[in-house]
Amino acid sequence: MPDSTQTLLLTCLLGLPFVGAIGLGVLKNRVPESVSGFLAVLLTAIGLFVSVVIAASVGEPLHWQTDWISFSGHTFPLSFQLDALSRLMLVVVHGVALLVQLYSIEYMRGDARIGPYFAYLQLFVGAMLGIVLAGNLLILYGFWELVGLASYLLIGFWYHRPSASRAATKAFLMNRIGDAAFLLGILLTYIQTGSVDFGTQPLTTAAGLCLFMGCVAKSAQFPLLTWLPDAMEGPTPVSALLHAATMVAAGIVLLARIHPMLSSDALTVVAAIGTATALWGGFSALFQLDIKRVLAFSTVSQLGLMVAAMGTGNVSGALFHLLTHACFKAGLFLAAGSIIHAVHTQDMRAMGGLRKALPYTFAAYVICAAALAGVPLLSGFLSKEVVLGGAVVWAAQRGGLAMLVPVGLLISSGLTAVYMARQLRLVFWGEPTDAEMIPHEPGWLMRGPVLLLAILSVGVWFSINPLSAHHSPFFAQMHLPVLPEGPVWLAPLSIALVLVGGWLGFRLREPATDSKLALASFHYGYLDQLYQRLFVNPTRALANFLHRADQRAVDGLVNGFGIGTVLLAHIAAFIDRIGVDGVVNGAGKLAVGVGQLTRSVQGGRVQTYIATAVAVVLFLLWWIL
Amino acid sequence: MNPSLSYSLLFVAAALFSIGLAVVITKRHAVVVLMGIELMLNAVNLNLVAFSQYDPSRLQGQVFSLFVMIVAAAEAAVALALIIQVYRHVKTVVLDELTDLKQ
Repeated sequence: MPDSTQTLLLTCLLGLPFVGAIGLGVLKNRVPESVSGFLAVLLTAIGLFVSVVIAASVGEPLHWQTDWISFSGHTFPLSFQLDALSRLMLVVVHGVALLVQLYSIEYMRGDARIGPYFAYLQLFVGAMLGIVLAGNLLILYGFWELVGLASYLLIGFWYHRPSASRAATKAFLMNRIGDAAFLLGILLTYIQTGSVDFGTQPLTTAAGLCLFMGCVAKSAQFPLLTWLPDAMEGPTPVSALLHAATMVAAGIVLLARIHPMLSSDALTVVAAIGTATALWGGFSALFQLDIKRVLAFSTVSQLGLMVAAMGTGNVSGALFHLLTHACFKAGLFLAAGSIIHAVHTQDMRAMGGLRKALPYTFAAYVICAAALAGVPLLSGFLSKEVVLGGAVVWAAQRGGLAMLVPVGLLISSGLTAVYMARQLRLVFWGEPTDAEMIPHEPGWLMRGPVLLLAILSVGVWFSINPLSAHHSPFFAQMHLPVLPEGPVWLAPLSIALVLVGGWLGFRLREPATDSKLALASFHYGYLDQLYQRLFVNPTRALANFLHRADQRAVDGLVNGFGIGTVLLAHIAAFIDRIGVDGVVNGAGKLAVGVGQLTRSVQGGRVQTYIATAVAVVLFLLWWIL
Repeated sequence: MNPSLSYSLLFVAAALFSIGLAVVITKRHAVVVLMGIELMLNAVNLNLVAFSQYDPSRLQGQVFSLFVMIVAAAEAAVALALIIQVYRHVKTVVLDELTDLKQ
């Protein structure tokens, strides 16, 4: 394919969602709701078609670059690139976005703000495509912020709910922490290398860790993971998009891009954080009661797995897991949306016995959950094997404490089986809690995407060998080195872990909700409470203090100044009244007085005049003589 | 002629003048005031006549007193005419009520 055609396609790909976002935002509710949904789906379908065409035509990585900002010797180019990672992510993002939007048409039917909803979705997709296609860190950062904005708009979509607007603010603020560090990392990169391109040489550990902080916030890694469960306040299709294709995947894409720039110390930190996140998320998911929160924490755990894989140098494994995870996690969320649609609650205690009422959703959910847990023959098993194998090989090379990484990842994958089995039991098995309510399957617009994603979660699409993905066409496409296979005992061990975990989750009696373990899990290790104590309360106290200081000192100063001015004005007025007015009035009064005096002489009486004249003549005579 | 006589003449004239002046200043009726003026004029005439004894050849004082009498007669005529006109105009001849001069 000639380069000019690819450039055209690239422009088209990047432009379509933004055109859609602006167009739908302008149209708002002036068109019928089915039209805006249809338009959005059409745009994304075109995008998907173009992406597939591009992905199918295996070509050299394409770079498109032009000078953008240049001043006093510094030049920041506007650049985009299309390599194997971009191709993969283009298809994933478009595919998931298409299914989510199809699903949304039915799920969001009747919502008053359906036009803005699809506009925000398009913006989200466009921003994510920008991240995927960005050719240097600066461009990536721009789209990175757009993703943050779109996620804020969508998490807080039902802004009339206080919890939703709080969750949106929380997500935005926690992402800001990471973004600030990310920007710092970009600046450090520029200082060290003189360009903002994705480098191939390791930078200093500090710069690498700063860049990694962006990923920590966006991909909800420990310790910035608490925004993700709260983000469940958004509409369920949005959660599916957020967890599978756009928001959290952005962090993984970033990590894949900057992987060569991370020093070996930084990579160790990455691996440690990933492992901690995987364990933390897995533990937190154990005793959640909200169906979506379980899925949210499973995402946290799986993202931890991907980040740990990156840390162990297994970029291809992490991306492979991102791909499979996108399919089954989107499927799980959309299926959860169908369940919520049917029973009108998110509390799993109010569900139960749904396997007869919702057979299609049940089937899809079981397949996706099994894929997530890592049951053989399904996609999750394959990708987890690659990740775990990479971790074991990496740890074997290093020895010592490094062994904690694969052990932690194995435990977290066992935990996955426990909480997914528990969720299946709570939602689908048992007896219906409300006999009068008869839940029923949603329409085909919602059922179709769920079933399609469940089908895509089967392992055979990714690798013909059901027990190993090492000869998968995926790795041939990615042009990335494949790590040597893990030890032989790994696959049986993880299968055993899944079986034990599943059995435990299915059989174990629910502990009392006020037991310490359950509470710790429910509050995800009291991380939020810790932040409340450590950061929020001191910040509030500082704000209160500043508020008071402002009131007392600054306001006092201003008020004092005002009072002083008024006082001065009064004094000036007094002087004015007494002095200036006094002079003026005095002159007037003097004139009046003189007038009165002279008037009294001129009484108009002739005899008085005569008398006066005589008196004066006599006086003169006396004086002269 | 005896100068002492002239002193007595001067005293009489001064008294007459003072009485006329008092009448002019104190009386309210315009005609009475006019009388006062006549008294003063006549006091002056008396003075003129009295001093004329020091000019026996030409008698300028006596001649001047004749002029004064004529002028006084004319003045009286004009003044009375004025008083009549004033009376016609404001229906009074009381001087206290005639204060138009102050305007």
